[in-house]
Amino acid sequence: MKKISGAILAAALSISLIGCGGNASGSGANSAAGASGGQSGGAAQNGTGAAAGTAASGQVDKVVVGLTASSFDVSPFGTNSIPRQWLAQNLYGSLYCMPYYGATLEEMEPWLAKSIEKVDDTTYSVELYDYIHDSKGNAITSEDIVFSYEHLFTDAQETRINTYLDYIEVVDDQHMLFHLKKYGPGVMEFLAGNYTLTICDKDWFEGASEEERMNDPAVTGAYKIASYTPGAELVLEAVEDYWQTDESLRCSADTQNVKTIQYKVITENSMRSIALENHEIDATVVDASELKRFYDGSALPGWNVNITGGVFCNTIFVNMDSGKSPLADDENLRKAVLYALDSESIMYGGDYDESTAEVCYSFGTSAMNGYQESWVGSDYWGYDPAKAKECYQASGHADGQVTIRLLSRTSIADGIHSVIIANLQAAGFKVELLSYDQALFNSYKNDSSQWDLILDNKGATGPIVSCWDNNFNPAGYTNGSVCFTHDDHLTELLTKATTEGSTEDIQAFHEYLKEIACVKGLFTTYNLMIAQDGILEQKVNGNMMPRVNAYVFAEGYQSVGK
Amino acid sequence: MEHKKTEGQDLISVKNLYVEYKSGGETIHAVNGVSFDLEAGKTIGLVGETGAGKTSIARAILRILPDHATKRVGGEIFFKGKELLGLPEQEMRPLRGKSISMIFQDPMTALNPVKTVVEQIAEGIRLHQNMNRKDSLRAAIKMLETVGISQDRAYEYPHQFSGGMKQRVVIAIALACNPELLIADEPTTALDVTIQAQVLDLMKKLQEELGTAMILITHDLGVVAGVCDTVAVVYAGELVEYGTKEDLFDHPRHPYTKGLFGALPDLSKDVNRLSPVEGLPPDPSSLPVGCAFASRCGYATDKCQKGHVEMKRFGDTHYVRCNCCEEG
Amino acid sequence: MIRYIGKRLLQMIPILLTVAILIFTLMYFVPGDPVEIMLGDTATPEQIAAARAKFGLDKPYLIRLWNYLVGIVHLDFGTSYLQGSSVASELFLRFPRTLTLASLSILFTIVVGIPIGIQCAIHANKLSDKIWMFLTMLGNSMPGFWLALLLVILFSVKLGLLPSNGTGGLEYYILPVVANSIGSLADIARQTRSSMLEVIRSDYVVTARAKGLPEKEVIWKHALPNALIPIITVCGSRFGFMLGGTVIIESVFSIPGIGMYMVNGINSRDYPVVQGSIIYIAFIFAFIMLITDLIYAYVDPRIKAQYVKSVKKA
Repeated sequence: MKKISGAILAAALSISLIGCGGNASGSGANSAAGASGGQSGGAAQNGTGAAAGTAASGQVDKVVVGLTASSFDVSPFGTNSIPRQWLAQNLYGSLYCMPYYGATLEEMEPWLAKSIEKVDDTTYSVELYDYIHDSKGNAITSEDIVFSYEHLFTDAQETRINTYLDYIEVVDDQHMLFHLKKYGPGVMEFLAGNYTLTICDKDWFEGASEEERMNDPAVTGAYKIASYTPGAELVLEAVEDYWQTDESLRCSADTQNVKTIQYKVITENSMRSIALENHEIDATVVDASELKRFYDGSALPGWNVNITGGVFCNTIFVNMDSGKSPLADDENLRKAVLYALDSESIMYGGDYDESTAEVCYSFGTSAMNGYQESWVGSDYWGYDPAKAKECYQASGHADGQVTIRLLSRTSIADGIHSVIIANLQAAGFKVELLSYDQALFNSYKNDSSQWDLILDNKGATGPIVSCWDNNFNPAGYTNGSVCFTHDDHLTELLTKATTEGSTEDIQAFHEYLKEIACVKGLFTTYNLMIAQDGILEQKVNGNMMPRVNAYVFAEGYQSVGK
Repeated sequence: MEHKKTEGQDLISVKNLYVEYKSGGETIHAVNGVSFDLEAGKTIGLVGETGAGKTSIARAILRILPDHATKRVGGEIFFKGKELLGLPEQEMRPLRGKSISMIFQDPMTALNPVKTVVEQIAEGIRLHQNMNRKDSLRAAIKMLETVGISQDRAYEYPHQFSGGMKQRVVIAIALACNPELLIADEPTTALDVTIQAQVLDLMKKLQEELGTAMILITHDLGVVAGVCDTVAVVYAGELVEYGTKEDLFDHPRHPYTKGLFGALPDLSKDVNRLSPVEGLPPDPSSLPVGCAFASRCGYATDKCQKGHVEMKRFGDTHYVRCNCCEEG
Repeated sequence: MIRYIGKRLLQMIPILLTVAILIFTLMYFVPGDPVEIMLGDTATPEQIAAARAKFGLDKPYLIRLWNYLVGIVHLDFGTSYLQGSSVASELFLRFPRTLTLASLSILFTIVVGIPIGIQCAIHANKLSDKIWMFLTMLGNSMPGFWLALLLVILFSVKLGLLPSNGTGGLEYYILPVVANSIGSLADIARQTRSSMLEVIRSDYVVTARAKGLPEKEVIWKHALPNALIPIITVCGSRFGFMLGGTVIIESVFSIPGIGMYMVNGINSRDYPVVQGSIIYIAFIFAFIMLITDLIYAYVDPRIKAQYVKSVKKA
């Protein structure tokens, strides 16, 4: 009975997709997400639903932006959180600025560093401007850079600094050499200016009280804290005597298009939309379910809509630890699983559609550097229930005999789980759903005795090879990899892809990953940024998140907030 | 109606009072055509078993019957010429506590536990005599002394007093504003015998001093003997015998009355067993046609059970509701 | 009476210590840990182990408990793993908002609920009684989240009278307070109604009427004070509950109070935050219970006598 209902469900979904003229090939056409090679974030979909005027020539007075989470830390080396990803670099500078997601070192913009030159594969020479000072007048020199990187690792838990960077050799106040532990696409880009990196003055930091660091830090970025109510509101004000007086040398991160940025915490999705419609905030990020209020193929009148991303790939991994799972040792069963999963239906199950998400054709998203155009529409474990059933039966098991434990999180929409389970049941599996909160999920995901399939969100800071490195590099795991593979050839291909990163290397890894049938990237969801139409362009930072200081405002724009 | 006293002399005149309650869909006939008069300064005793309807009569006079349970109140009650049952509430209220007061049966629950005793007395004084707070408290303290409670106990709470003292407080409340009529509903029933005597003495003394008329409800014939001028015997919501104290004590005529006296133990006689009245009072929700006492009456005839029995008069003051008693 | 208060305050200390130990133990045994959330996906096992050591999470239970209790006694509740701020100072900062929200809510509930209950008691079983009881039950059954959103849509979006979220002046509190109180109205109204029904039939109420007091005075000055005891109990426990943080209301209206703080802490296994919040709530609850008991003594002298006696005996 379950099988039949599962099949009917799957069939119904397919029919409804065809009926809606569903964009089966997903991607490409309508998303602003870059194809390979990166792209300035926020291009294609940045539409305004009305003639909104010309860009402001001067500095706009104020903008009120809705923040999506309440728990964050604005001290120089605070722990990572979503709000901090938006605004850490409003306050603190980094060597280079990442102008958009996936930019290479050549494409990045100088910020605190005048230049970063490659000496050899694992050595880079960095030169700072010699007139940098923070908002409290302290000069920033190499010593402060070294100090900051250390604390970014120890305090802010920026583990990749420890993974990528060996040590920084100080030559003089403005010059230093970065000695890396590894090389490859994304490594120096990360160290030069990942959106989470922050620099501050060593002497100031060591002398400042806890309170000062939290509420009134000495900032190296273009904005300082005017007022801060933890959990409620953060008001930033453009630094008037910003050290970079030469306008032509400014980058995206220290553009000061607006004088006051008021970040208001509104954690509830529907409340953010209400705040927008009620003209209480100027801009924010909304949930997929709220998009229809502002967009129906193009932005509705009164609104500026920017759809970017997605940078996270919802992925299914198969437990490859021999003996711990029926799937690990039986290729037929694994193939059955991967053919059974219908990425598109799963996406629809989560209440997403083509304007808010897209199907993935690899373990990675189309926004990531290195994601090949040729993969789009190719046969990447394309949904094939007949083949799935065939593979299942080829394994010699009777229907319903094999039980799969699916590990997932409670924050995932029920619809997604339902479709996955229905898909698998149609192929002949029995599925046990283990849904836990994030913290518990984290404990279990590295334990190969706890699951057979895991549904997780995987991202990267730009290159697709980083995503692969994060998940398949044995150095990062006690048990082989994210899904417990112990495959030397895979590791070999991975090393080539992450160090050389040529198209062939990438293609080779992608193909081999497909061959061992241990992972399937399902879909990725877009970032949906909505603003009042007086904002002509909503810029994004290196993680596809709002870069409010660089927003382009219409002439004479008045903020709706009081 | 049957009484020939001149209206003008009576302080209060109850005429054909009916009280019906509703309970669980049934009608309880608590009071069925009660009439009596009382002169100023005199005391009438309402005697009867529990459930005879005595308390209902008392509450009907003061119009403090429970609203939610009362189905109907019929008849007339004249107090100093004013008809009380038809009076609008605003006009009735000034009479309560001032002209007509009530003493309740259970002193343990009659006082508000969260107010001091002096405040409970002073409240009434303030209300009816238009005094300010200080003066009313002083008057209340004086009242307490009158009932034998010393001044230093005035600001204590009811739970700190014994039963007898509580009843004195209740009496103080009732008499604080010098009422013309006092209704005492079994004032000593909840007290032990020794205290009973004290409280009764106190009541009598005050009554004489203030000239208050009193309706004394009791089931204790001994109390009646000590205090009352006239007596009415209540049975099943009706008066079955009514007259002066001497009438009833010396010449009881109704079989029920006779039974009550017969039930009293007599020290002078040597009797092995008490002789109570046989049987139980009728169920007030379904009263029999005819005499309510007939089923228990040794003298009952067919006539008694057929039709309503009228009051018969014996002498100037003595009235009996019975078919079988004759002049004599 | 002072001795009684002193005794009660002293009793709070062992209670709070027990709560501290219990919550610490509970969090210790709850699976899942904060380190992986803090470090994110890219951390290596060595880095994770190092972080665990840094936060002292690898030490055995008793040592961690001891360190924690020593900290508590010095009123040091530790620092939030995720926010880096001192838990004590955060709680201090957030408390006034929750306090305002809770106080206004309980005030609203009392001012609206008690008169409704009294009216229902006076007109018991009549139509008005049935209607009011139905309305309050309706209020009780409505999910708080849904009601809050409805109020926002009506008053904020459609009518534009009130702001939809945030903190600030009094107008920011109106919708949250109403949304927060409607659920409690039913409890208070019902409790008032049943207490009053009991009391209204009492003899001393008849005495009061017999004195000739106007009905209003009889109800409010004689009946209500005696009916108050169970009502105060319900109000007290409701207030304590509200102070603990009404998460749903805080989340919808973006009021940064204790509720949101605690829930975020639980989700990220931010131990100091959770432990500090729980102990804080326990303290507030105990304090509210003490205040409630003192109010009893003020309202009913018999209870006051009991208290004084209980201390004399000791």
